[in-house]
Amino acid sequence: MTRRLGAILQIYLWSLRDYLREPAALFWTLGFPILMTLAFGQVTGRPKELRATVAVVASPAEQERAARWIADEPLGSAVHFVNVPENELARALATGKVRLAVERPWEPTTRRWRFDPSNQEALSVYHELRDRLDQRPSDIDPVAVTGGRYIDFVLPGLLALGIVNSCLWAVGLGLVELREKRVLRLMLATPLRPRTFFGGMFLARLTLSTVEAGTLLAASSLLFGVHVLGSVWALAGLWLCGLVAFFGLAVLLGSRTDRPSIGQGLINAATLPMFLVSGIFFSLDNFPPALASVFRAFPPTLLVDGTRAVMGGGGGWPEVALPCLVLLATGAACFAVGKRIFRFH
Amino acid sequence: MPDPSAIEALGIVKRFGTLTAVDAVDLRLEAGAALALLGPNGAGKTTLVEMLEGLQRPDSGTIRIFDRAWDDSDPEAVRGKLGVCLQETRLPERLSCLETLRLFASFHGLESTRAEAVLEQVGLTEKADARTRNLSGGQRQRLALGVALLPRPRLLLLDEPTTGLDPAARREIWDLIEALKREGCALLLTTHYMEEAEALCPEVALMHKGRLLARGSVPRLLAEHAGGDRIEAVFASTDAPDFSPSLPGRLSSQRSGPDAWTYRVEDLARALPALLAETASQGLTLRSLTTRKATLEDLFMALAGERLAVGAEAA
Repeated sequence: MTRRLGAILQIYLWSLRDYLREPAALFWTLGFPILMTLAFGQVTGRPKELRATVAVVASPAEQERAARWIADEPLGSAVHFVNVPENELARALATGKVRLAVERPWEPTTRRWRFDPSNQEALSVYHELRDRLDQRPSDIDPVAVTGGRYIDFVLPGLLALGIVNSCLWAVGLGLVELREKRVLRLMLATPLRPRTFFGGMFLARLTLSTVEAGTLLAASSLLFGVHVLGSVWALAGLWLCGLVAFFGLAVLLGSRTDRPSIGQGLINAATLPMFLVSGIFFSLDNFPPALASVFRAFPPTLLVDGTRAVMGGGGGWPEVALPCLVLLATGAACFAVGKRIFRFH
Repeated sequence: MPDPSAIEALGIVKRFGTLTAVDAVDLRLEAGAALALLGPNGAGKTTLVEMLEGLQRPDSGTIRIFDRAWDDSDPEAVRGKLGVCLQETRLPERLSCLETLRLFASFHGLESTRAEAVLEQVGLTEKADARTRNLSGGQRQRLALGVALLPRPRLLLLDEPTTGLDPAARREIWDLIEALKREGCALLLTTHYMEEAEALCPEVALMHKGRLLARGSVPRLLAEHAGGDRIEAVFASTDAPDFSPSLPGRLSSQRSGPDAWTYRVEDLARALPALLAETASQGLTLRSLTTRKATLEDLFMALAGERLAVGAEAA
């Protein structure tokens, strides 16, 4: 028993040293997620007022009138109007250069709006502008809603993504590289037992993931005032189960090949669909309902949704209990298969 | 009760698809003995050694290490008696020498003081804190040997431990191995280098295409299969005939190049004057003439019909 603990400790220390002595790993796992959060937060973190670029469309005969109206427009810097010729409007809308277009804004009776009504941002700009142009009192009562910003939406996804990525790349690809360099083979030639080896690796990954997630959470709290509204313990439990799930998947993906290019391909094949269907960057409500309900059952989605439910939704153990069970079962199944087919050489 | 054999392997066969890498090999090594396994690339040496190390399973045959089989209930007990140095192993790159030894010491349940002792034994105390990626080839190989020495092994299995090293670094590894042999550690060494085999092991086994061709001390094998001295003659023209039948004590001859012949003779002192006289009488001109004792390369050529390639360059 003492021998096994000593080996687990040494493997744990090896993994930590390997990580801490690789500056690139530090940047990509600690620095880069904070930079991404900063970028998301700057774009959408603290909107103080309506900001949009709106096309003013007028007939050739009314170009001067349009230019004068834009110069005199009464809405200050909140809305930026641009004069867009009729034949360029479709392209400007399609490329997002303008959110919506308004024809003859100075004439309430003949004013015509053009935008995609499924675009929530365009729709809200439309309502706001219509009221302002008609000089009606705005019916918008700005309320500070904690958890309603895009940063509040995307941060749980980034935290979950960190767990997924650190497991699959650090553990999965790490195993492939150890096999390629024949280090695993040399370890097999000692009395080391596989479960001791994986135990040490898991503890190291648990420590590093805690540091990575804690750093990102602390940075988001300082920069954007993001807080965990629900149970911190439930969140910790969910992340632990997520770590089990993706550690198991990493062992499975890294169980056979000794070629890093194949390992990278396998990990990419596993992670790219996760980005699309786990609701990290956009809501699964954009998918057809039947498809969305399937995607919601995927382990990465369970981790993302569970994190979101606790952080922004104020949830606790009742919200994460089922996701935890599914994640644990996934991890146990992947690890069992991976360990069974694992090649030390 | 006598010590059990360090290695007792009977009828070992290993196939990869249609290729038979190891073909019905029997190998026995007594405790404290040393044997060099010599053969060209692809001879099956590494496959055989990895089966002895328990890293691969033979398709048929039995292997016992100190009277324990790998499929016994406690293979870890066998591993604790083995020191293994694999071919072309890269140790964890971002660990220091001492950290690497502590890591592998923990796998054997050893205290870190053992790692420090081994570090001194392999002469790397001054490099204790150096990362393994920054070591020279010789230092890295000494560290790999240190990893093998951690459990105080009774049997060392070294797979080409000096390949790619310069002569000085190779000599340092030899000194280490010699010291271990003096402590009674059995040694199985695979190598391309004939001089290494002769220097470290009183016995060699020649392996070719998965089979053991011969085993014994070098003088005995040479006497049995490749005795006599060698005369290597290079002529100025390519049409020199084989006039060796006229050489006294001639054993065999072989064209070793378009303009060269190698003669195997019993007695150099009698054959050489006759060769020079025959050359002059036939109006031929010699470009070079070399005489030498028989080598393991000659032995391998006699038994396998081909050269040891890398070994020939190194010798």
